[in-house]
Amino acid sequence: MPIASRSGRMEEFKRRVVELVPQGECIIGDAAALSSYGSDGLIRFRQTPEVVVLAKSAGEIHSAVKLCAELGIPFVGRGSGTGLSGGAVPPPDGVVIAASAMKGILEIDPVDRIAVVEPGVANLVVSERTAPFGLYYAPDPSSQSVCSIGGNVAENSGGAHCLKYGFTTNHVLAIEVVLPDGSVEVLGGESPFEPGLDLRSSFLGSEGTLGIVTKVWLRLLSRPEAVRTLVADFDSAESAGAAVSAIIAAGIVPAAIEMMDALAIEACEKAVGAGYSLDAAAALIVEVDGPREEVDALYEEVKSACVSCGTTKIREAADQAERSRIWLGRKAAFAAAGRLAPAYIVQDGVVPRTALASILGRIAELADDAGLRVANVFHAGDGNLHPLVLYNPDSPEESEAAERVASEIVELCVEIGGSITGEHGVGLEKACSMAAMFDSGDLEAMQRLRIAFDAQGIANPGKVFPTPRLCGDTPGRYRAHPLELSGEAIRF
Amino acid sequence: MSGAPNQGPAILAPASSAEASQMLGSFEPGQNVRIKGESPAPDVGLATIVCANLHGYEHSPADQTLVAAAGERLGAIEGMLAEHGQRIPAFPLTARERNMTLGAWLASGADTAAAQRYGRFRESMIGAEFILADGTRAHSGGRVIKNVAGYDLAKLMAGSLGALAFVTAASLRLYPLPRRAARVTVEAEIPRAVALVDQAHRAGIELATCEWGGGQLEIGVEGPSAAVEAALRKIADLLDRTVGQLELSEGDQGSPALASRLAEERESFAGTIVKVGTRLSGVAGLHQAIVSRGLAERGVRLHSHLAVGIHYLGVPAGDGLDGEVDAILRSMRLAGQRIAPTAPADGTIFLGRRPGGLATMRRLLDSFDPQGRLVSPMRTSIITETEMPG
Ligand SMILES: Cc1cc2nc3c(=O)[nH]c(=O)nc-3n(C[C@H](O)[C@H](O)[C@H](O)COP(=O)(O)OP(=O)(O)OC[C@H]3O[C@@H](n4cnc5c(N)ncnc54)[C@H](O)[C@@H]3O)c2cc1C
Repeated sequence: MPIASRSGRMEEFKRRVVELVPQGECIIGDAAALSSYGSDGLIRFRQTPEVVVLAKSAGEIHSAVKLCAELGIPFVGRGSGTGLSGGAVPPPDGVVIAASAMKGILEIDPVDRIAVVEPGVANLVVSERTAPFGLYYAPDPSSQSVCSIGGNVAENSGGAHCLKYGFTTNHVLAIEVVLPDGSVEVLGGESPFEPGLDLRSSFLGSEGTLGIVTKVWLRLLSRPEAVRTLVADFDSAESAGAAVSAIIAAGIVPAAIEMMDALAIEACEKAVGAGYSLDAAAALIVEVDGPREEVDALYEEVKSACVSCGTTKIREAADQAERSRIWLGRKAAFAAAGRLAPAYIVQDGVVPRTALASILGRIAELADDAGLRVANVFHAGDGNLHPLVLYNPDSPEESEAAERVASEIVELCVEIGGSITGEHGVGLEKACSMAAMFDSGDLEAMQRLRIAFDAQGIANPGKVFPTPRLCGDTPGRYRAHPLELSGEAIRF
Repeated sequence: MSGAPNQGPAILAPASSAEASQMLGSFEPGQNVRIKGESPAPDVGLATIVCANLHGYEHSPADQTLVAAAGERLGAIEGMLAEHGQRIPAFPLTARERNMTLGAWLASGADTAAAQRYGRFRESMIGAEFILADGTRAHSGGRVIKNVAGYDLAKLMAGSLGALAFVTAASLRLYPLPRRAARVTVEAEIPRAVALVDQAHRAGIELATCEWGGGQLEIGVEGPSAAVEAALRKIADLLDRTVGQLELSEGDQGSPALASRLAEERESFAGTIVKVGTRLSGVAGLHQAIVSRGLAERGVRLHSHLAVGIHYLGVPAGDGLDGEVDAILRSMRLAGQRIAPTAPADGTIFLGRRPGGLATMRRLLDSFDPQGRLVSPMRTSIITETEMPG
């Protein structure tokens, strides 16, 4: 007999799920334990779940999802909880199905250069475990020592070295997924070609709204033979931006080009003492990797480009230890912002890389107007900016101003032809900003995809897409340009 | 444009997205349409919408991105970009491919030797604009190379054979042309070719292209001159030769000669071309099965983007060979797709193991095109396979 009330269904779920996960664990009724699954890395969104299923196998995830489907209970898949857009926040009246305990590396094939892993494996572990074969997994989010491969798939995560090597989507051959109706499918194949429609690509970056990943086939690369890294200081963001353009214009695709402004440099120095110059207005970290002769040739050209754009100082990493120190500073940037202010908002937006210098100027204006400070770290090579909006949480005015500046920055990105997110995802945080990039037709097409995967709408509801509950009744900001309506211009 | 949609078979050639949307939106229930790059032979009793009249592009050389209307020809795009020292990840192109529209190219899901360095073409698609079967205009992605806002529907369009939507424009990531490119050709049957690729990987050689066909392996290396020189020395070492003894082509001839020849051979092949993916080492088993069952002697050919694991089987017409190839793929759990000649309207393009996700593909078709307006071999195949038992 169907159980009509939500609470009745939840009670039945609690009763039955325990038997379905004999090896894993179900957290029920332990308020403290449940509360630690209430948010991800973006702690301002929080919702304590009633149940957390810590699965130990694909079979257990399968059983738990099937039960959700049967009882119509919403669920959210969860990895390590490092997401920065509220994607793993449990849906109201929903349950958490965590893959974080599924840490098996099922296969490493050094000839075919494939690793098959469970979703809870931390990103960095894949590279560590494949290192003895001279291989590694290229996408390297700054959170790579903690974040899970399943989370990376769901977010299509990027990292500093994605400029040259591409994002998660470029390195995942196939995924085994439990769909929200409880069925299991493998999307993609062991080669990048698999007949039929490419559902794998749509699942990548779908933020847990299409199902739960239970197994991942990863493409591995040879470790580069040589790596050279430098830090170039500049006395203005404009000249640093010009150096980025000059490097790219020379036909060089460095492994990474990162940019920091003076405030970000100060924060990183305070946190880890990476040896950055405190008197620089901006600094670039440029890394070139590949075969030795290629690296040697391109590295000299990178240096020349920096010199011709007026670098005030070039620091070259003399050895691996110094290289690690340089990167430690950059990778600590988010946490380091805590040295400058009691609280900060990490923003994530994208602009065409040629617009980097100009957006920095606009961000500075927004910050000045609001009486706030903003530190900037960029994946400059691909135009992905992470402004860190600093504020005092004890002041309601400052907190509000910081939120406003953070969302104005994202609007600015869209205005300049960019995106509301380059790697942290839409999640809960930016669902209402989707209308800045996508009109009703675009969102409808995406919903049609979603329905094909999840007719009941139980997989991570309330994320990614604007809903009236989330965004009020505010109509989307997007307005079609007359040229576009007439078909004379292409919109992106 | 000739004829209106409700006057029976017609060729619809919209010149803008708005026009395409209006055309598709004005179809009567029950009317079908197929999507093509350009006007087909007028012998089918079916309306056809073509992208050939959709023109225009925006190239941002410094951002290395291109937004191009679906009617732009690949050859024209290639030429325009070369003037800026850039390229799309599709080369070498045959004369026929150069004449293809971007829309038809990406919907076909075709691969080239470029897949070795840049991945499949879809991987460089950073956005797409398209019209659903009911006329709904939509886009996904954008014009920046990094972007995770919303579902990636652009890559989904790649290889969909017109089953989901009429693509009107695509946004692409571009790459700099290499400063120097060299190709080395080696006589090597598949087992040795696979071993050589593995050795090349271990020796730190970055393969720019890696093609196999007719007992020959062609390895391409690209980069600054000194790097190419060093890679050639390493290749020579692997082969126990000196660089001077290598069968080498460079400069203008540096475009993958074997890749071009193989692609042309496939275009003129008298029979079926089946595309199949394997792991690198998996191709050895496939090749072995073809040889040991006597299919090679009966004219079945294998070509391969070897290191990336994408292969083509040329299956001569008649003689029941299609069925035998199907059986081999099934026994090896490999999924194949017939890519030429154009599939029969009622047949399936899938061979061997069924592709994963068929049930969801079926639901996706129903969701994108609930009235089944778009006629496509992809649609027919997905429906046929999901309705077949087992
Ligand atoms: C200090 C710091 C630095 C960071 N740097 C980067 C960076 O450089 N680049 C970058 O891209 N991101 C970065 N992030 C963000 C975050 O680490 C990534 O988004 C990461 O991929 C999330 O992985 P996770 O395992 O923590 O996922 P979670 O936070 O647990 O979940 C994230 C999303 O994925 C879904 N999900 C998780 N597991 C599964 C699964 N098995 N199946 C289906 N859906 C699933 C969840 O529902 C949720 O929507 C950073 C975060 C922090 C805290």
